Amino acid sequence: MKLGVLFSGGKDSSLALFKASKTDEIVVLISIISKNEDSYMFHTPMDNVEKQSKKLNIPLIKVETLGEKEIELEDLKLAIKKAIDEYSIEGVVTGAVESVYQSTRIQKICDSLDIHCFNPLWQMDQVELLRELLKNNFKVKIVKVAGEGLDNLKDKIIDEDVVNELIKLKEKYGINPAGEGGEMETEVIF
Amino acid sequence: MILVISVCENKLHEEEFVKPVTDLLENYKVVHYSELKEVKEDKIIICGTALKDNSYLDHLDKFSWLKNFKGKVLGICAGMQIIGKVLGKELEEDKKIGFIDNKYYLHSFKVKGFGDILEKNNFKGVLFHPEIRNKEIIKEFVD
Repeated sequence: MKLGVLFSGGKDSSLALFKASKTDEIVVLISIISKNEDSYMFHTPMDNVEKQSKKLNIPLIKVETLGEKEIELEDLKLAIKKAIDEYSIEGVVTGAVESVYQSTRIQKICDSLDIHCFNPLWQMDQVELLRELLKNNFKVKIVKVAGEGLDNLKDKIIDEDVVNELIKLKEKYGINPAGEGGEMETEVIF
Repeated sequence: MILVISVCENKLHEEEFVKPVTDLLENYKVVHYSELKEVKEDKIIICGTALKDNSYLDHLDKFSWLKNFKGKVLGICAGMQIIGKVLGKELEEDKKIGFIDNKYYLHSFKVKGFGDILEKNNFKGVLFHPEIRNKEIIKEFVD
């Protein structure tokens, strides 16, 4: 099936892309650049999606949004519609793990456009997710942190030591080790 | 041993509809309904699938053996619809997407005359997805 990946350049959408490319054909990346740093829907920052798309050799549809609630969903829908028109995608892949907020909204957009929605990381244990990235040699840089005890992890590449540190911080402060609660943002270096 | 039956037409959807269920189990095997030859297990979970995937409804004959199955069966979403059809009920269109009253829904059909739950003899069907925020339903079934 021809699919587009909702791509932020971070670890979740990159791992989702990796999993989906094993079973289906990924023909386009779709990136929504939000001007709202606190968007519930979209990851920020996303400075290098063009570079990542070139490295992956997968075309990119990039759409900017002001990031206002509900308007950003219209912008996302337009971007997916563009991918249907230009690349004949039959479905989109997301990196949603736990957020029913994100997942529900994307499911509804896909339903309205009559295409499939794939969430290959759905409900995945966060430590398992980090270890799967390591196992598959992803180079993941932590580009933004927002949580207790995380400051010294900014700009680090996630390796076994960082995973162990995140597990310790989970036990100490109750953080989500893969940053599902917005504790950190990442960028994958391809 | 628990038999987990996948009804996903696309393999990639199993990551989303089967894996979150098997992550809660210890001793299980996963078989796609189209490849099921014999059933030795006494507990079965039939998982759900994607909103746009209704392919299982064209192959309900593959589930006719369920009618005489004596073990316990838990059907999730599509699994509940399959249980309903095996028990002679009808389905009706009923699209529901999202987290409503602490339950996560993702379906296009329901069993006519039933709400979220169908319980009859050894069969239990739930229309929502208990693997999301209602994991205890699966754990109770297994215990």
